[in-house]
Amino acid sequence: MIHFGMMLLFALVVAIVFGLVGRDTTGERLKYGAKVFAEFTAVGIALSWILYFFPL
Amino acid sequence: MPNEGTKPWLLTLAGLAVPGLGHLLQGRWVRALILGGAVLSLFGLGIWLGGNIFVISSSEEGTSYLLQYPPAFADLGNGIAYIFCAITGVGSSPDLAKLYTYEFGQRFILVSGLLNFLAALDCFDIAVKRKS
Repeated sequence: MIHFGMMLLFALVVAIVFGLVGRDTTGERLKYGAKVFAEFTAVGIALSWILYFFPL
Repeated sequence: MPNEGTKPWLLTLAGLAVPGLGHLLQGRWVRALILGGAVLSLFGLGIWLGGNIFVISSSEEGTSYLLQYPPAFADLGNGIAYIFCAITGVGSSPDLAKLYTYEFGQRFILVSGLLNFLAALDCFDIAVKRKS
């Protein structure tokens, strides 16, 4: 659980900064920030399932 | 209070030294609060989780110390907070690696530094009127 929580927190902070720096209007920032957050989370979950099948 | 007369590189340096300060000096306090808060909270969380600070030391054998340059550069983006930790030894103990949250902390510190580089560039772009 702590892994997932930390990943969500990380994705949230990065999405906030990317959204604020990468777009010019409030609407675009919110949309871009949400997109970055969703992408980070989705890629994190996908990678964790891929790695689950590798005995490390 | 917007400060139009301040040179862009000074604002950028201020933003690099203290996350959010560059934007604050431009009078953009909301942006300063959000960016500074995001960077500093990520850095503080990284330290709290037991992440280590990369410092350049030539005590390693051969040229392996060169591997410390990229992460040390990323950490340097945290500005004064990084310098304070490097001087006082916070985040430098080898025992930190035993912690369960060590890896999280280390990544958080690295990324907070890189995010502050982005924030400082944003500050520069605003100062030279490339961005509004």
